Amino acid sequence: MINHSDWLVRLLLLLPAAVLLSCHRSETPPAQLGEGPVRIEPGQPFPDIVLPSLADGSPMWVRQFRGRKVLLQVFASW
Amino acid sequence: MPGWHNATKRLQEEGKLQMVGIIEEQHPDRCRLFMQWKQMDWPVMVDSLNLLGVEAVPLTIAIDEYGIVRKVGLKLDEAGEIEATFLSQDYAAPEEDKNVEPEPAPPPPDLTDLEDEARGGDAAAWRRYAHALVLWGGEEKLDDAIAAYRRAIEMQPEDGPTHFRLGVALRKRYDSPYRKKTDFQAAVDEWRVALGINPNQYIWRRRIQQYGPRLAKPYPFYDWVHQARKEIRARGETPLPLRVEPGGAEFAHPLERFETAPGTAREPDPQGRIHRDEKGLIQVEEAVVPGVIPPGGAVRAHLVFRPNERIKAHWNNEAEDLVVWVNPPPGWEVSRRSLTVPSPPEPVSKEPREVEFELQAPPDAAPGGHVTSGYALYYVCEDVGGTCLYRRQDFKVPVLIREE
Repeated sequence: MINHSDWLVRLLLLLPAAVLLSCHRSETPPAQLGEGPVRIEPGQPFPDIVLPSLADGSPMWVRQFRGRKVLLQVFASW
Repeated sequence: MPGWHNATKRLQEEGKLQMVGIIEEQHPDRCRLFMQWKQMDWPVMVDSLNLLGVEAVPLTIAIDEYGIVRKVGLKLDEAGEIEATFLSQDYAAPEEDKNVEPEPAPPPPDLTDLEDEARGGDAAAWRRYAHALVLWGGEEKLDDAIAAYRRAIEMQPEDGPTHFRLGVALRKRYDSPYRKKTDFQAAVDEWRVALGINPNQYIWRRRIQQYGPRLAKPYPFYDWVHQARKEIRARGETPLPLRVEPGGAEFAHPLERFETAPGTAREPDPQGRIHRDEKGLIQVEEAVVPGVIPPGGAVRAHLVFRPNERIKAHWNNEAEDLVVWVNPPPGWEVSRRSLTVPSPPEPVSKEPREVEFELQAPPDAAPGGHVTSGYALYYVCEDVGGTCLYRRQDFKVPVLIREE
C-alpha cells in the first residue's frame, strides 16, 4: 500500500538528486559546494566551486581561466 | 605565496601562466593587505567556510587549459622547473569537455529557492542554503545562516564541516553590526567540536590557534601587519583598511613553557570598595579559547569592554587607565594578574577595549568546571556631558577540565 504522504516523502528525497543533475549543466552554481571533501586529483577536472572574489565579492570560479595554464594557490596570509 | 609569486613573475608577465588564489582565512581583508604588501595582483577567491575541504595550506595545484588538474602539492623548489614540467606540456583535450574559452562564473543562486528547498528538505538542503547565505547574502543574512546551519546539525549532529562552518558564521556575526555578545565563544566551541570529530583538519585547528594560548600556537598569525603597513606607506601608497584589527593572540608568538609576568602586582581593590557598574555603562564580553582542556592545559581568555551605546556611555580618558585584575583558582597559573589598557589621547572615546590573558591548569586539576574571577576598574561617563564615574565590574572566566 502506498499512501499519499509516502509519495511526498519519496519526492522530497529525490529532489536533491534532481537539483544536482540540473546543476551539472551549470545553470546555477554547483550543488557539490561543501558536500564532503572536494576531489582534487591529477587527471580530474578541478571542481566547479563558485566563491566570492577577494577584489569585490563577485562570483568567481576556475572555469573563467579556461585556455590558460593555471597555478592555483590555496593559502592564507599567516 | 610571495615565494611562488616571485619565482613565477616572468612567466606571469609573459602570459604563459595565470596565478589564481583561494584563501582559507576568517578575515579575507587581511589577505588583501598582505597581497598589497607583497605586490601580488592575482585574482583570488575567498573560502572562509573551507568549502573546498582542503585540510592544510599552502597547497599548490597545476591546472591545464581544459580545467584538468595536472599536479597537486607542488613544492616551491619545483618552481624553477614548471616551464618544462607543466607549461610546455601538451595535454590532450578531454573527450567530455574540450572548451578552452573562458567561462564567466554563474550569478549567485536565488536564496529564496534554496530556502524553499531547505524547508522541505534534508540536512544537505539546509547546508546548501546556509553556505549560500554566508557567501552571497551579506551580513544581514548571518542570523538566517546560523539558524540554517543549526537545523542541519540537528539532523546530523556528527557533521564536522558543518560545525566548523557554523563557527565561521558565528565569528563573522561577532565582527558585524549584528553581533551577539556570546558569538565569539560560540564560534570557538563549534570549532572545538569540529576538531573533535576530525582532529586532522588543520584549517579548523588553525582557527582555534589563531585566538588560543601561546603554548598551542604554531606561529604568530598576523604579526606581519605592522611591517606591511610601514613598507606600503614607505612606497607612497595607502595600506588597505582592515575591518577587524588583529590583536593579542593573533600577534602573540608561540611559547614552549607557560610564562608568568615577573614582579608582584598589587591588587587594586582587594576589599571590593569601589562601587559596581550597576547601570551597565560598560558591557563586558568574555571568551575562553578553548573552553575545554585536559589537566595541565592552557587557555587564552579574551575580555572586551564596550561602552553601552544605548545609554551613550563613553570612556573618560582624562583619568586613570582601565585596569583588570585576575584571580585564578588555587594552583592555576596566570600570565599576568594585572593588565592595563592605555587610554587614547582624546578626552573621551567609546571604542571597545580588549584585554587578553592566559591561564594554565595544574596537572592534577580535577575534571569539571573551574572559574577564574576578576574585575575591571575604569572611568566611564554617562551620556554626552553627563556624570563621569569610577566603577568596578566583576567577571568570571569558566574553564572546563575534561576527563583524561
